[in-house]
Amino acid sequence: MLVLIIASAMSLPAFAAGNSSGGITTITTSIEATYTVTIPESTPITFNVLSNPIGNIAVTAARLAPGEKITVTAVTDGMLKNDDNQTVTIAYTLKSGGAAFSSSDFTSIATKALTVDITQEAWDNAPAGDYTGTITFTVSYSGSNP
Amino acid sequence: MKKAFSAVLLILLLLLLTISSSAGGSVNITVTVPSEHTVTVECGTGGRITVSGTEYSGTNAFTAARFGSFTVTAVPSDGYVTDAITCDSGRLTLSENNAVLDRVLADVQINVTFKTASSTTENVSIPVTGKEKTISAKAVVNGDTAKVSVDENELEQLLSADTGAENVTVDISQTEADVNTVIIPISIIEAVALHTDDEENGTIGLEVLFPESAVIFDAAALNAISAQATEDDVTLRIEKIDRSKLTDTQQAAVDADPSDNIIVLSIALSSGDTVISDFNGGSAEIKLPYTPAPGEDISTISVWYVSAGGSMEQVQCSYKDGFVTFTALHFSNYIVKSGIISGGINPHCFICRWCGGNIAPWCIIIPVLFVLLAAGIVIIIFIFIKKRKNKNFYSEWRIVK
Repeated sequence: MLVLIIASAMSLPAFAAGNSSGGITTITTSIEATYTVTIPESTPITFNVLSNPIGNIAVTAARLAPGEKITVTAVTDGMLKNDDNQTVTIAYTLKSGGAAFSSSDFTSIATKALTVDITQEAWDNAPAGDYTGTITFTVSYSGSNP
Repeated sequence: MKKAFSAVLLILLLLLLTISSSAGGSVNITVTVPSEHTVTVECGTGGRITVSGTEYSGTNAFTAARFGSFTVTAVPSDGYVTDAITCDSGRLTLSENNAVLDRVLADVQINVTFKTASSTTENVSIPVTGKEKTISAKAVVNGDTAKVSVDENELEQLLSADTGAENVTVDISQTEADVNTVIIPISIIEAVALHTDDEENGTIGLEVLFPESAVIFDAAALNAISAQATEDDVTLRIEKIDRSKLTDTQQAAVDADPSDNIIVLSIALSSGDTVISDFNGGSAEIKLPYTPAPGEDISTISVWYVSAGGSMEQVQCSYKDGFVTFTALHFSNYIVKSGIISGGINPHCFICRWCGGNIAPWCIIIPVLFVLLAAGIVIIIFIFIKKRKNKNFYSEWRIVK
């Protein structure tokens, strides 16, 4: 976080005694933006379950400047790959609220629940074995007018 | 000047504020797809289930390989029929009492339920000809089984009379159900057997009429049955069965037969858990309807006893008015068919009768050999005669010369 304090010095003009005069003093300060974002942990899902909860994206203690936002992005190839044979896969979709999830903007405290959804057909065709898939989350903070 | 410197500084600072900051991380999603699944079978009251040839009752859990199949068979108890076989996965293939889960993909539960077979009480009469005396016996019909009960006093009065009848008849043929099993009180067997011993009575046997067949026990058979019975009744069952219900060796023997129209009969008599198969020299005459196929030669209709080991023994039979009648010296599995059979005798083939049967391929080879032999003899005779002629010619020529 950047913390910046701007201060400017002003000099008041001097006048001869007997006359009154005034001036404007500008006082400035800056409150730094703070936020905390949590993403899901690595998690096992249950075989043959169509929608597996994997955790939440949660924005807590957010203090953002007006017009600024936090963006959380999830990148995945949508495949659970067999640990012994990477060509054997189970397709899945990362979802939030029933819709496919790729990114979301946050301007205040909020939580989004994520699920890994796998169709019954995909489960039925999956050979026995251990499978692993990877989801990469990226959290960014930016203003609306750079 | 100072103001201008301150403004520039403010702008630079604002620019710094707009630079984004970012962070993140990767998470792994893992899952294990199992190589086996649990198939839980819940069997209701009124029967049992079999899995891999073993019977079970109640709730049992089985293991099936992923992508493998699983078969369960319902075995209703007496007086019950299979009501339903259901699966929570909805992928069962049903066939009579069999249910097959073609592809096991997850843990599943199969439920097997039974219900009581339809039960009706019908009165059947035991007609006696001669003096036209008839008594009414009661029969309780459950599914394919009729249990007969009779007032013994009435039965005694019936049998004591000069009936002039040949047989005492228990007639179940008029029931609406397709009865193939009759439970007869041993008292009827004993009473009829006793009176068949009385030559003046005229009764010679007990006839049981089914909807699609008839069985007549002679006096010796009735006495043998009476002597072997261990319960208060005997159960007589006669039904056409699919050859798949035969033993493997029996089925192989029947499958080897080239005939198209083969009826497999299962005839059984028991008293409690005791199987009664020996009639001690007596016999039972079996009569059942037979419909010849178009163009079928009814003169080749034959009946064969099929032993447990798969051997086949022909029994005498006759065909008249749409019925095949044969005499069984014991009860077991029989086949009714027509035409020449492999491993058996064609009653109209003199070669088979001469060879004694079980060598049917020779029915073709032997005639061919006879023909070849005869031809060979003819050729030899011809050559001999010709040589003799040539010899005489040359002799004459030398003389002339």
